[in-house]
Amino acid sequence: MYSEMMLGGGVLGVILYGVYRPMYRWSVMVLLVYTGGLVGGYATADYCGFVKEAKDSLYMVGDNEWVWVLQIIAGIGLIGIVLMGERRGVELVLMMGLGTVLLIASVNWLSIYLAMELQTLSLFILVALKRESAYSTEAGLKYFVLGAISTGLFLLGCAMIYGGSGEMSVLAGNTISETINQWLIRGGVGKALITISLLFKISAAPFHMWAPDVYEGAPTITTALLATVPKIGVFAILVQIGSLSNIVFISATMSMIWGALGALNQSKIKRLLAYSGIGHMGFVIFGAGMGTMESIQASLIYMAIYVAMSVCVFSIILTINERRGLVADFHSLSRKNAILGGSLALVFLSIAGVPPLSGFLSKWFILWAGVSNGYYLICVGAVLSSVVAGVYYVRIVQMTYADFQGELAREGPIDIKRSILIGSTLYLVLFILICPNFLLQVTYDAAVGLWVHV
Amino acid sequence: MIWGVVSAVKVISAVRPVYAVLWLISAFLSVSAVFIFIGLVYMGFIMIIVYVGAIAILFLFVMMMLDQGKEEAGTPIVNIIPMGMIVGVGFLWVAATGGEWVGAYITQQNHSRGMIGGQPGGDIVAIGRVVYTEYSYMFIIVSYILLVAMVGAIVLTHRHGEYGPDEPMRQDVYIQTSRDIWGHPNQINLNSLGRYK
Repeated sequence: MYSEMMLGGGVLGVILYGVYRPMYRWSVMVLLVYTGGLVGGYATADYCGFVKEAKDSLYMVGDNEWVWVLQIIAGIGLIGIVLMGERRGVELVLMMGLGTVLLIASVNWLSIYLAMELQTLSLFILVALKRESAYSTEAGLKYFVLGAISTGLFLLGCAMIYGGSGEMSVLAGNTISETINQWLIRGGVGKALITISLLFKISAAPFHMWAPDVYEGAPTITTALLATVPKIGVFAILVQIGSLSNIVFISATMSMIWGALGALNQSKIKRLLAYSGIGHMGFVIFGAGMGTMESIQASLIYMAIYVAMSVCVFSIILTINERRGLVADFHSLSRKNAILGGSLALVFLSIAGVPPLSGFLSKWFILWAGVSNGYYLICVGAVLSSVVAGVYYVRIVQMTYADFQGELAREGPIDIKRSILIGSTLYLVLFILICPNFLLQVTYDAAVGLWVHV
Repeated sequence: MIWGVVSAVKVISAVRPVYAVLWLISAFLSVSAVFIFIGLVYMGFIMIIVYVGAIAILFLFVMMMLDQGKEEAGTPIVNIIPMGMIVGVGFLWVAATGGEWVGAYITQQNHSRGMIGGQPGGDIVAIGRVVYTEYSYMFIIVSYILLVAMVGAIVLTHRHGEYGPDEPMRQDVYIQTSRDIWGHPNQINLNSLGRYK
């Protein structure tokens, strides 16, 4: 609880003094202190017997490994987004981060709802931040309306579960079928509605229709934010509430297929990344839906690596800074700036899942869990759709390296913060396969913590 | 109850939209009266504050801003009646079959939890007690959400570059008072519509 309080106080301070001067550095500092505190607390805690009975654990917990690890991932993602360098609206990014970490830590329908609203409302504003562009306004409006619909579904589900069980803990939905037979169907319907609403927020396939338009219309940094941090929070909740696995499996399969097919025809890079994100979310929720410890650990690994790869890709896109945002802008990047082109190629190969890179590792763990739990058909579908998805990633790599056309103007120097981001995330992408023990240990602890605290 | 039904019928049968909104307010008031009569005082007041105080007034403003031209013959009400019949029969059916045991369940819950009936001072006291103690974190998060709304309204409407790059928006009384808002609607001054200063 203290870490969220600290972040909340920091956000308030940044907003208060931001009236007088831009508080960009201070917001970076707040995030660094927050994430550093989390990492330090996590590293020094004796996390084998760490779970303790917190007094306020009925409504919010910050006290198990699952919450800690996901909050650390979210904090690192937030630092990445803020370091990408948009000064405008940075306090809203902080607010959104606060909503995400509260969402990760909440175990109560009411707090989940409020934290999700805090996160989504900040995102509405961030999406519509570029007021002179009609695309941005359209994206903001579209996101607002669809977000309101999914919130309505969530509240309806909460009302049904509360009516059935009379309590607001997330575990309440599981007791319905045991105690009151009459409410069995309603409890199931409530859980289904909540699951669908969360799938909306994570942009999984039958509920993905907002994602490409919103990604394209939003400012690029907001797109990077949308692609990474809120999904971590929603994923944490999707795992914690024990969603209905049938819905999650259907949605996962559709996401993987639709993410592969939908991106084939895209010429805008942000739309392409939106469809790619849909496909990745298919993998993540496939692991979450299986519900065993190995599969949830695999999804968590996938999520962490996905965040690292997304931060890297969006930093490179921001560095290239083409106004049109077409895929064709990447042509002959390796001639203009060999290192940047090389990093782009490596990251896209990693997203496609080519073996020596980290994207392969995450896909491998998910498929491993799927096969060992007996979901053969979905695994075959996942492999086939990632082969199809490989086409357009490799097309970008081919465009970077082999498609020379037009002038070869040298790029100017790259922003130091972005180059640090690209470098550090590329390090993760390249070398995590050599020694994945650290990541495996941390995610294992997180998955165990999920079981112990409930 | 009868008041509410009459108001609801008048909402859909009123000719002018403004009258419809006024009847809507009346319907909300009757609903809140029903809530208060069955003991849910807080719900009744919230109905008045939220629906009458905010949403209906918003509707009224929107109505006043719209240009109300001549009334056109809308959809004949005969076309709507079958749909209304279906919805109404559905609601009645739910109320007749489900209402009884839902009510029984609610009273049983109230007896077991002592939530609404047990507290002296009614449900407002009960809700207040819970909100400021057990759910204080939620209360703080709500305040953060309101802060986001405030910051967002400023961020989205703050205009850059009209009075210089970093100058905030200023009021200019002369421009505001000399705006041509009473002109004939057929001769709309495009300049005055395009600029909002």
